[in-house]
Amino acid sequence: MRKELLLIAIALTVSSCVNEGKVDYKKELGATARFHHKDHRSFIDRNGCIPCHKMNVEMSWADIEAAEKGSKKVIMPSKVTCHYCHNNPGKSPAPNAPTKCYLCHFNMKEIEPADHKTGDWLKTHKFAYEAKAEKCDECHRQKFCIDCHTRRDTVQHMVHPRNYEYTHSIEAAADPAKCSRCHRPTFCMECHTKGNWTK
Amino acid sequence: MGIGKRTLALGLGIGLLSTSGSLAALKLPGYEGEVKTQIEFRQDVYDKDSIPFDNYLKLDIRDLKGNSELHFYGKLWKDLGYGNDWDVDLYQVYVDVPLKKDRSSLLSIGRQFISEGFETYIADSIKYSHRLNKDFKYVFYIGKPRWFEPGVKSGDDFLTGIKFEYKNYFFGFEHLRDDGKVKKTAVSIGNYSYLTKKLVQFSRLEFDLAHGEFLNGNLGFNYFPNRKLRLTTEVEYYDGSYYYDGRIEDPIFSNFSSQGRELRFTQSAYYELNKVWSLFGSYTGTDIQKNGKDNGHLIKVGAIRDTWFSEGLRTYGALLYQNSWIGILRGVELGFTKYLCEKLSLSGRVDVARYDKVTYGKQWANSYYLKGTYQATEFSNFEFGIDYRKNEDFDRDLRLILRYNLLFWGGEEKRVEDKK
Repeated sequence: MRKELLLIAIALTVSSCVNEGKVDYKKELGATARFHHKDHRSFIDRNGCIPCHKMNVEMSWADIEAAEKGSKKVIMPSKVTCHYCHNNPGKSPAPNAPTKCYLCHFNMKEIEPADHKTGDWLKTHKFAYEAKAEKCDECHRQKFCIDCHTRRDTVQHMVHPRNYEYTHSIEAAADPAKCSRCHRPTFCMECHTKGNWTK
Repeated sequence: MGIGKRTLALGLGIGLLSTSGSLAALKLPGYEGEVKTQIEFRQDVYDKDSIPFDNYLKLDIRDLKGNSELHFYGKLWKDLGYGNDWDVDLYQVYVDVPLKKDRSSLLSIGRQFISEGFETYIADSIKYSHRLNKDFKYVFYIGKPRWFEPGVKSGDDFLTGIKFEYKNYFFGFEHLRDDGKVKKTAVSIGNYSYLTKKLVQFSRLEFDLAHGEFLNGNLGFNYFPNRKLRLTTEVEYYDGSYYYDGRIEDPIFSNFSSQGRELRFTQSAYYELNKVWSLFGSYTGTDIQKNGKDNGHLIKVGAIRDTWFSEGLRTYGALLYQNSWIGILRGVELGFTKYLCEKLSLSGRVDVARYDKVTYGKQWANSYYLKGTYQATEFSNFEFGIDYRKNEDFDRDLRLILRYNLLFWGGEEKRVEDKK
């Protein structure tokens, strides 16, 4: 059974990437890689190019060659341009523009704010939220909160690693309050009273 | 739950049809959603294996009458292995009604997520928020909390509260009834302030006025002196005991912390050595105010190697040490994420732990997880996971996971001139 699974995984890998050529990581993994003008056609038809490509620079003919060389950099819209429609609840000029961060940001780690990268952010994020919830709303919607605070999905590892079921008692004894932040006693009782935890 | 099932079926229908484009000719309000379908084949300690089959739908519909919005999030599930009936968990069905055009005054009605300075709830509720100016805002809510963990019934429960925010400070009041009995009538006060651009200070205090109890106190600092270094520290007092039917009840894990109280200190650090390597570490020390050995120590230190933009690879490793009155654990965690090509990426994780418990001695506990993500279309993918655990208690513990994720959106775009 395990050998067959391994073979399936290898076959999937090989068949998916064959003939793809060398990966241009900077292109493929950057936030702009998924931008297509055709997806924005109705907006462009209505508003033209200028709302995104500001090009608000004065040029002389002597600058044209240099400008062409550097044009990609000069006219490439910044994240402010994208976010003006895609992450601007209530004020976006295109209110139906999708707002999911991972539509463009393939690598979500790249846009993680500095305070999220601390070792105890899972525990301390509530202080930032309680004082200024709107700051969190800039990137996250309610579903994001619910996925950890309410959803108890056995399939996805949202907080604890799979090994945790075996080892959790040591951490629970060291820091019991940590468990009760999310779990009610019945959560423990499900396993500890039904006989499928033998020791 | 009958209404919930019908709503979910309707939403799923819209989601699936929208991808085929067959609704393109119809005039629909703007919508955006996610569908997630997953199945897990899970060896169980019993002979009969568990096969949970979960289907999620998230749907936001905008530009309804009065510029209001409808939000929906639910789960339709069944265990194909155990053969139980279909069930529905409805996490969100609510309408946002802006009472002012700039949404500074907003009424939310229905089942929604409530987190206003106390615990978090899913509640069938009415919530009203009003921002008077840049600095001042208040939120009022009233409703009935709902629970989704097994064995927890939403009985005669009741929740109401009000929270005021002024600059970076907040003050909250909340009354919670559990099965008709007062669980708490509490106030909380706190702040999250940038003392300087590099230094954040936060605090929070909570008192149960109904029972004269000090429930929670926190004081912490985040210090980010430069882009490379991040330090945080926090101290906390926590009393997990609560009142039910006029008497004090044991908190969760009452045998671990018989007084229900705990004093905790946490310190964490993150440092970028260079563009490729980063170091991280965290330490938590606790005093659970129990007779005899009552201290706990949790330490994790590790390193991240990030070559995402040159090789499409991120790896990490960490050492784990846990020490409590029930035993000691020493462990290693290793993980990676690899971008193979536009269609496929892999992530994996290995956890190896050696623990020594006072109840039954030394044990190994290891787990191995490998997940592939196959990009089917630009906004949909398949995930395929193999999850294997090995422990001296259980031999049968292999899981296979299949998941399909889809994002969709569409509907009639509201023109700028229409808005004017």
